[in-house]
Amino acid sequence: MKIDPLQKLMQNKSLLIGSIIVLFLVVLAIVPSLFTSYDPIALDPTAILEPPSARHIMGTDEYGRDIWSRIVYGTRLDLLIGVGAMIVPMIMGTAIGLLSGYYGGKLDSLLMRILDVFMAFPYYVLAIGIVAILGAGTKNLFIAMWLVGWKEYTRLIRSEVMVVKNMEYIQAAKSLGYSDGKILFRHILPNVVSNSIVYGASDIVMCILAGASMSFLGLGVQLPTPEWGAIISGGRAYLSTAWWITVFPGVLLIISGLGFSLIGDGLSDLLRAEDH
Amino acid sequence: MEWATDKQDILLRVEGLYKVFPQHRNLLQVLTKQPEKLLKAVDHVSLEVVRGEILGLVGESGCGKSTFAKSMIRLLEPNGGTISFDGVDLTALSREAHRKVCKNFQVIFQDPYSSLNPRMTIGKAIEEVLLYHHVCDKLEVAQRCKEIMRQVGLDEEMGSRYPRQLSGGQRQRAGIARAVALHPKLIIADEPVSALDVSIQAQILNLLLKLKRELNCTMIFISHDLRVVRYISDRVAVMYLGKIVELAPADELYQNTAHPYSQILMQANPSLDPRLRKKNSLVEGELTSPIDLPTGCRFRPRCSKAVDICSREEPELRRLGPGHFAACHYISPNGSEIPNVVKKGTDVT
Repeated sequence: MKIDPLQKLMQNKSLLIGSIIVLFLVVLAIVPSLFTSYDPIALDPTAILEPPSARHIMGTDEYGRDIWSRIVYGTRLDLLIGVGAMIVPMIMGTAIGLLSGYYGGKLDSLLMRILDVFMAFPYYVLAIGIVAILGAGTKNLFIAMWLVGWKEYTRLIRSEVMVVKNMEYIQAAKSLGYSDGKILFRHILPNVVSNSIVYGASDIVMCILAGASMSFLGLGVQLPTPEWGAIISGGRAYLSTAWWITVFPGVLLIISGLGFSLIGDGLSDLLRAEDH
Repeated sequence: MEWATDKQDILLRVEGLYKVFPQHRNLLQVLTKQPEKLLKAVDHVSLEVVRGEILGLVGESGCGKSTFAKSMIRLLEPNGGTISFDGVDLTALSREAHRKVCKNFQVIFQDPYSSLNPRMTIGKAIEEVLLYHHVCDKLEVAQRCKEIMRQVGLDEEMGSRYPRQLSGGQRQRAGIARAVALHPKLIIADEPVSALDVSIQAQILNLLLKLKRELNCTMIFISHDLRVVRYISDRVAVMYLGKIVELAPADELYQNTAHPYSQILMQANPSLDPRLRKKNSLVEGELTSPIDLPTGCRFRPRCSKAVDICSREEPELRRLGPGHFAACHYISPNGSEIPNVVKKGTDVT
């Protein structure tokens, strides 16, 4: 009755398509030089604001830089922001949610009040505020996103833990004399972590968009480093005359968002099915 | 007062065990400083468990039998009373120390569908217990695990399966395997067969009896099914709303049922022989709320024999015969029913 993982993947359409898209992006990020021969930063005064053509398939910007090349080289940074800004809050939020849900009482009250403070601010207001204090830049962008992103994981995991900790198998683990640490990490965590993983897959989309938005606002990645949000921001002034500068990175942003969303959907189907 | 049948080797002595659950108050009640209402799940219960016996614990759902059993081993922290297990005062132990001794008493849970970690294979779950309590080292753990699985009637290949891939009976066997892996002195079986098919119930009961013999342990068997309890138990305690109302050797209880509540339970139990079926059987009224207990005898509101004294004084457990105790004003020491007056403080040993 064994179904091998590959067969499972083939049956799960959204996971399959999502994985193909993300795999493509990952290849772009790892070996950008395979896909373009242009330098993403070098200026070319002879090819300023050229529309898409055989020479520059997505046109050029106001400094004559190839848009496709900038997009390709930007992929690495955007994926890094997406994954990096997702993973740290995921671990942090999951750990806080575990402790809060399992121990309850005063610890729970304290952690939940701290969480309330963070929840009180809209995502961007808090992120922009933190970057404003720390100063613009890629490093500070990460710090801001880590501080802002953990709370959803905490709420999700905490509520799950509160259900799971009353299950009989946790009582059984207690009656077997297991320590709290063992119960938390061996018996509760494996039963709640799928929620974090599923949420995380769609959170990557949020993080890529947020990273691009922050860069668009000039608070994240600084020019001339190629990054999708920054490219879109740079093309804003030429929107009516050179649409290709903003549209193509936008399309890539949408495609990558779609890819991670599909993976999230597929994972949730897969993990939920496994639970029942 | 002496609870057990004779001077015997007592494994577990519980005295005045008390467990309450505070009821949630809403904001208004907190602000107006209304006293917290308490659900008395176990109300000062004393009991002795003799080494080597199977003690049945019966009662309706919600009467506190599971809570009582779980409080006995501090799986639920009791609010009062003392527990002496094999000479060790359990209530005095720190959580750390309690963790070390708890391999001496193990629980078999009611629902085999929720008592096993769904993300752990059966084999891993058993090996984990063995390794955690250093029953054996890593080299022999797989071998030991297989032996234990064989002992409870599971195929070795089941070890690599997840709980969801097993049937109810197989899961319960796995739960039993995990409990007996540590060779406990006391097994608390909390309705171990009530979630199973009737055909599987007998197999599991026989397995429990076999293991009890092989491991030479003591067992507390909780159930609401009187036939099952009679089949398996040496002595039976009947619980009602957090109190033991009758305690007797199994056959004695079934032949000379004393307490009106026990009698109702017996009648509610359908007989296979239609000629023995009684017509008037079922107990009247709902289970009284354990939050607002009646004055005097707690069974009074449902008791057809209740008289004046029952509303004034709470009956104590009194000896009716060898090992037979009941808490009812209505019953005289020789087991026959007497009219209302029982002198206060009647000494019975």
